[in-house]
Amino acid sequence: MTTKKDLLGAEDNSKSNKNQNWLNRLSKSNDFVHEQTSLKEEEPYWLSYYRTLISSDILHKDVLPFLQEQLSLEELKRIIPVEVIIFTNDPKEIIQNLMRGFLALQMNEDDEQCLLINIANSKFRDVSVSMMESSAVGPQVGFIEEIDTNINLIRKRLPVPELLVIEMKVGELSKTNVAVIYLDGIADPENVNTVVQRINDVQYDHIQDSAYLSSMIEDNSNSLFPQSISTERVDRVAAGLTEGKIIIAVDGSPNLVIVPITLFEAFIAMEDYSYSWIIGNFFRLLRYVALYLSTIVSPMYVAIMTYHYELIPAPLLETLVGSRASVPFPPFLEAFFLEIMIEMVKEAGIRLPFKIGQSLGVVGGIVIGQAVVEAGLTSNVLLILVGLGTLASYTAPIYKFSNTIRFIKFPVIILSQWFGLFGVFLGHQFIYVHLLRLTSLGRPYLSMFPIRTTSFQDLWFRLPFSKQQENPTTIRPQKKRKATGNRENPEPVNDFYE
Amino acid sequence: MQVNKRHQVSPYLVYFIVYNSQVGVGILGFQRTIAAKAGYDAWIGVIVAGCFVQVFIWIMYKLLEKADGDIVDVHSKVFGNILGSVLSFIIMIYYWLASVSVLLGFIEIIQVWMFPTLPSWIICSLILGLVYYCVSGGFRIVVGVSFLSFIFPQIMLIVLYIFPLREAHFTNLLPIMNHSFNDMFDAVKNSMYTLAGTEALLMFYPFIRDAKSSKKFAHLAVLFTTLLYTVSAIVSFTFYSESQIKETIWPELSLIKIIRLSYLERFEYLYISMYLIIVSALLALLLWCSTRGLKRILKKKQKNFLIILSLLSVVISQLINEQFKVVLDKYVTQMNLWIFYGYIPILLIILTILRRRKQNG
Repeated sequence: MTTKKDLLGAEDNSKSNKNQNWLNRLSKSNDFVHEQTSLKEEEPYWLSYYRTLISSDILHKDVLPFLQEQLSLEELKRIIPVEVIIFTNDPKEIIQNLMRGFLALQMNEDDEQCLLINIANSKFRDVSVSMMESSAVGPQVGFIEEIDTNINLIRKRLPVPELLVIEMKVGELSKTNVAVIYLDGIADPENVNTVVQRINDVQYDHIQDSAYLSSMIEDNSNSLFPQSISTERVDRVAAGLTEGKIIIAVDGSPNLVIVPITLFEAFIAMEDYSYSWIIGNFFRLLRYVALYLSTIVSPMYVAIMTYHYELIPAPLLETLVGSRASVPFPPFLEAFFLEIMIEMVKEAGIRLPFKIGQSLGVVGGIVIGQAVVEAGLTSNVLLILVGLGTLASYTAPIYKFSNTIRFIKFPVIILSQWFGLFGVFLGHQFIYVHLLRLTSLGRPYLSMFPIRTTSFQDLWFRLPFSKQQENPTTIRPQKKRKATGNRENPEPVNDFYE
Repeated sequence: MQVNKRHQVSPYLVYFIVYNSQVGVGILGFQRTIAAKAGYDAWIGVIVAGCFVQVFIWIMYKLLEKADGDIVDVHSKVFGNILGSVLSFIIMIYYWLASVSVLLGFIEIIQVWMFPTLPSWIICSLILGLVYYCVSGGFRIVVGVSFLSFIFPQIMLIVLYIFPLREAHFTNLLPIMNHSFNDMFDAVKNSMYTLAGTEALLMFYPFIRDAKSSKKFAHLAVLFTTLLYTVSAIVSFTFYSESQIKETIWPELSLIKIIRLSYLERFEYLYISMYLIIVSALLALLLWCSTRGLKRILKKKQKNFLIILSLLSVVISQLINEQFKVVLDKYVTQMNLWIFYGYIPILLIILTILRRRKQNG
């Protein structure tokens, strides 16, 4: 607690030695520079800044040349060609801005008056291709770690004054810049208030990533399912804004958070819109099937091989039994270990550098997989099924969601070992009830019920653009329609229609 | 009593709730009980029973509209607080007993068909755990589960009839109407209990937004279930011989056994497992009704009643033996007939007379 006070509390300063106080506090650090431009003690100016935070280029080119003529601070404010210049005597503000890379300019060392000039050095990576959510066609650009650039990217896509940004600072120590972005007149003001309220209520030392914040403000933090989408795709964010969603951008995080969401939005890839609607639909439905399959394949194997082998017709059963004739373990252990092994390969692949990770995949996937089967520790069929299930789980367009899907199958495998098929359905019914109970910003998470016609237009399916007339109503956008006209295909010009 | 608008559901969802309330484990075995006396003519009994249920729905809507609340309100308006509470309490006990009867029926099926050695209390606690999670989410969640219980198992219930129909002998049904009135009446009476469940409306009526417009959905749902049961009866009658059906305990399940695909056979395992979705939805609805009523009568938290009733169900499921099960089913059937087809219409008449008198005097 005391350290915190030292770091933060400017409150206990007495008025008289205000100036001295902030100087003393800051000069404890070795990278803090406090120097005078002239050699005489009485003459201006005194400069203070953090050497590590500023850009010396700007300092030398844009600030120092103006300090030759001994102008007053007010005059300097007018002529120095830097956008953000603040004139203040509030020590709290001075400290705050110095910490962000400002230069503090004083006439005398004891002066309370201070000119703060922004010469911050902000070095970030360039805007580049989104790494986690890649797509074969469509826009590739992804967000980066700097919040202003991210907002710039959004504004470029939605150049309307209705796009509003509410800026906040979160984190006792990290003072992270957080921006809540929404389209005024479309987003439900109740949702905006809820988001702002919940972010204001956050009391935590540091916010390193948007995921910190999103899990702090979500409705049920004990759920496996992410109740917000974190994306680094600009097009997904812009599209979400037009539907009345609210975006939370956190400085230092390339992932922007979209709230409120429904479960099925996690199945939507922006690529769906780059194809013909028929193909887009095919892939979207394929994802539903794949993700459901990946939660059910291994549990089904365990259930059927342990209890209900009668379900499989004799010829097929021969293949199944034949492949695991030499396996000394019960199906449960067999499946469980193989699933764990695949998770390990995946986990190691992520932790290792890209190039090693790739070769590890080959070693883990092919070599170990083959060897395990040859050694008679698992059956061929199971290897295929588990491989299929894992592959299917990666079809989720949102990475966090594919993690959820892969985790869910473990409890279901255990249930299937205990209660067979009954256990599988028990597990699934539990998940269904859980999803029904879940809310995102108080809006139902499972948009399946009550049925809304807009869900058919562009949520469960993706109809042609001429049929997508309305915004999804589950999150109550204030703007109901997204298309005003309705251009159908023109009638073909040929002899048949003449 | 007015319910917060946030908790209310759209009128069309009544369709799913009523469907859910009617379809339980009954459909797996009612073919035998209705055919016991009326033989192959029993399917007509199902249709007649369906008509009775339609009338019953109409009566319930009249009653609840007049009182503008649930059955607890009706009772306290007609009989005053104390006597009204006692009568409501009996109905809540009926809901609970009905849920126990469904639960025991399902446990029996699981033990006979899938896991002969699995103790009842384990199955019971698993299902009731699920039901607890569901009911504690409020009425909206109960409706959501009803919705799934309509969508998901429809695939099984209807599509799978195609296979036994291939081997159907429709001549079995002929000649039509060659049984006495008494035999037919027996079939109707037995179908009544299979089609029972709509009485849940007496509790969830205030939870429907714009309840008047939900009438047609309730009638449609009853029509659908009546047809479903009739089709199910006809499929069984055309498949089995008359003596066979009188000895098959679960004709529906035995029917499914014949399905063979190149990659899957013995569908009844899948079917019974999937039946969990239907049974848990029905249990959730019944226990929700029961505990909601008890909460209103005794003015305690609904959670407490749910826990107590669930624990009691678990204990009963483990202790009860075959004889008691028969007795319980008999009681529930009798209660259902007398309370809902005898008492409720009388209640409507009393309420109407009371209203008239108030208006006149």
